[in-house]
Amino acid sequence: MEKDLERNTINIRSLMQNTSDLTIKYGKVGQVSVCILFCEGQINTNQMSNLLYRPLNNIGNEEKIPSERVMEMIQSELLIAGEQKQITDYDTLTMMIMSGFCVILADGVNYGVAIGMHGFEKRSVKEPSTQLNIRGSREGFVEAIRINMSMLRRRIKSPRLILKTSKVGKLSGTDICICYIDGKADKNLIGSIEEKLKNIPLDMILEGGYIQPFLEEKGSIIFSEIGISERPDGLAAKLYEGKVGIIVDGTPFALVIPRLFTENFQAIDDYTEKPVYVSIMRILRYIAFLTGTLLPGFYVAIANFNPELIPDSLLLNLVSSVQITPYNLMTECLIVHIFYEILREAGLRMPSDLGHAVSIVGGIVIGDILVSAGLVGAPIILIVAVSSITSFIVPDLYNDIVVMRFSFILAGGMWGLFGITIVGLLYLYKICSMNAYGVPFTAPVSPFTFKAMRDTFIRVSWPIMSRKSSTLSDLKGIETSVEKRGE
Amino acid sequence: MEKTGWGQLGIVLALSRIFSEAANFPSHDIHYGMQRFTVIIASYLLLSVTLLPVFTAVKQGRSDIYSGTAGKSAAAVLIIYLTAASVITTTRLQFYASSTIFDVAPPWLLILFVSIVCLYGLFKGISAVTRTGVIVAAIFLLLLIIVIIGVSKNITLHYLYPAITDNTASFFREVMSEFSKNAEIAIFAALFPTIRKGAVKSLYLCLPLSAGVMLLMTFLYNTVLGEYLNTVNFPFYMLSSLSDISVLQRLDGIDVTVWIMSAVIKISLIIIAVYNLSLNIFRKKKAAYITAAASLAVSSLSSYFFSTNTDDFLDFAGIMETGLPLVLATVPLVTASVLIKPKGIIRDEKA
Repeated sequence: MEKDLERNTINIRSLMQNTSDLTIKYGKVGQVSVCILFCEGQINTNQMSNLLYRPLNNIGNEEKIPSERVMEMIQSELLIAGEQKQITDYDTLTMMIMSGFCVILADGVNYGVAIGMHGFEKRSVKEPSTQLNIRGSREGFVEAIRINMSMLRRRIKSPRLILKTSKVGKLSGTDICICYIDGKADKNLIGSIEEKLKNIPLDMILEGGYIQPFLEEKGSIIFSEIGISERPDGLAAKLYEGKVGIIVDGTPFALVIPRLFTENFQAIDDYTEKPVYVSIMRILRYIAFLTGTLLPGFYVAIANFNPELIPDSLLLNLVSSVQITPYNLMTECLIVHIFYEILREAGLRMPSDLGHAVSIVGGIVIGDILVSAGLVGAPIILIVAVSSITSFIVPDLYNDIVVMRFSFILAGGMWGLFGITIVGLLYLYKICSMNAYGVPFTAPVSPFTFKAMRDTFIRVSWPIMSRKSSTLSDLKGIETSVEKRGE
Repeated sequence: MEKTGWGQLGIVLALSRIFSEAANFPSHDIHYGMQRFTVIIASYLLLSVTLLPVFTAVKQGRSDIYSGTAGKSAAAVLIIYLTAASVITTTRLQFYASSTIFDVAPPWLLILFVSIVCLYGLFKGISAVTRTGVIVAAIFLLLLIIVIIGVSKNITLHYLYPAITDNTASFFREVMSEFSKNAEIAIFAALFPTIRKGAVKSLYLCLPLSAGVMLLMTFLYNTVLGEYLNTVNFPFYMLSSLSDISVLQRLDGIDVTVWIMSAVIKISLIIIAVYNLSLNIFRKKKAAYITAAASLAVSSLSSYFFSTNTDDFLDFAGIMETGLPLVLATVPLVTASVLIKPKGIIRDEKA
């Protein structure tokens, strides 16, 4: 930077392409020309008036003060804001301005002082939209990274909670925060994540989903070893298990690394309700997952190839419904599922008022007419409804369930139970081969860790769980830990 | 080299052995009376005695057993034996699947799909295959429990009678036949360098586990099927068909699914074993060619046996069931363990 204020402002304007939201306020302090630069809409103006303008005006203009002294007073003597930083280059200066800082420059000084005055419009903290609960906190993450970090800090008031911020995205300069608990998270795991984040080649990062594929294993086309949390309490619990969180600015969804397959069946309420009830619900979730994935494929396979496996009374109903429809069962099943997915997608993307109309049209009109017109049989509607509802019980796996369901329908329709077995094995091989960051995706089931069973298919009570904490490094088959363990 | 745990491999080998019991070739003359108990026990005793040298080799923790001329010869012999064992498994699978509920599936389709999955298993590595095997073993355990509950009302203890053998001649033949069905030993011999630590524990787990489950299955066969036992092809499949647990009228569909999974996992393990052994003799590219050639041989031979000539298969299976090929396959390994001076010792997972 230069010592001449005018040159500096011209250079900054030029660097920022004369953007309209760059505001430059000129003034004099101690007879020295100063200017304050900030981005319109990113600054809290009330805070600025009270904490910046007022103290500067109080210095007065009657007495001449050297430029260096003015900047020294601003930087070291006036208590303006928590975040104050000296800047000596234009790149950092423009980045600070665009990140919600205001920068003070003075004539005759070749540096500036950036002061945190963030005050952009943001959504207030509300209940999360995806991971709902009955008991416990109603707070969900918001888009502003600093608020999210503060919510996490409020839950872990320990110096062992490490929050490391950095920037990703060459153009967007998105703030991200890597968070973990020192002593719980494996150092190799943290190192690999930081390394991968450094090498992300994207220019624009607007959501955690942009960086997620770069943190997953190569060739990960289905299932993810990275979890998502919209809840600060959920993220805090995962950090306690030795995992690493990544909060991305601009999204209320934090990434949790790594995620195990069995974690998809856990909910935050599991830890506040009675263990027996929770254990029943956990088992029901596994059954729901299998039902949502396999039921349509099994139905098509058995009805087409092995009707002898179906109870006689059900078989009679099935035969009567199949006889009046023009398509085979596999086609019927695919048609209804495609209809259902289209309606779901429409309901999701449309304004909520219209979404209800879509539900009515889809559920009542199309469903009823498809059956009464004889295009599909009534049993298939029931099968689709049951598989769809059950797949919502495990929301984190919904996308994977849909992909698997279609493949099982096709395999079951073409090759019967044999096809389902073969496709099922392919998925099993895929799931069992996932080993992101040296953590088997299928742990603690395979490799089997008995200790972790207390919070897998069932959950034991807190007094039993509290006897000895269980973290990621306790799982067998982990390869990242400094203290490696055998499977 | 990718590693796996001894527990996982032990469970998968046991599952693989139990598959051979559940999918016995239909026309094979097996005496399922009380003699079956003693046949199983005797075959496992014989197995323990003949395998002691292999145990010894493994206990020494030799990671370089397949190096040098003797080691490479041992690897080559094992490759041939495992390929032959894989032909038996694949053909058994075809007969089993087509005789039960997959009668509409063309044989080439069955072979093609099984080959695809096995090659995918090779691509994914041994840990993926053994982890999958443990999950399938858990499904089998669940199925076994449900079948026991389902048929419990049909158990009739008076079918049990005090006898060690029913027919002495058939007893010895069946002991050798059961002994020969332990291709898992050869798989273990090929794969033990991939076990992180405590390799020999895999066998300590596999042998009693498979023997125990087979004895339990024999008990169920005898007490539930009784005098009809010798007229059915696949007794466990029949037990599953008889299981009625209200929700599911028949469990044979699940039963066949489990056995197909088990067979595919067994073949996947064999292919991985063949590839690992080939790596000791050839470079990576040539090892891949050898594995592909072995897979092709398995597919072609099993298709030939299944679709055209059952008698040829019976002759082939007859040779394998003498138990001699299994014994011969382990001899060079023992020789190698004696001749090769130990360089690498498998002490922990870093070895």
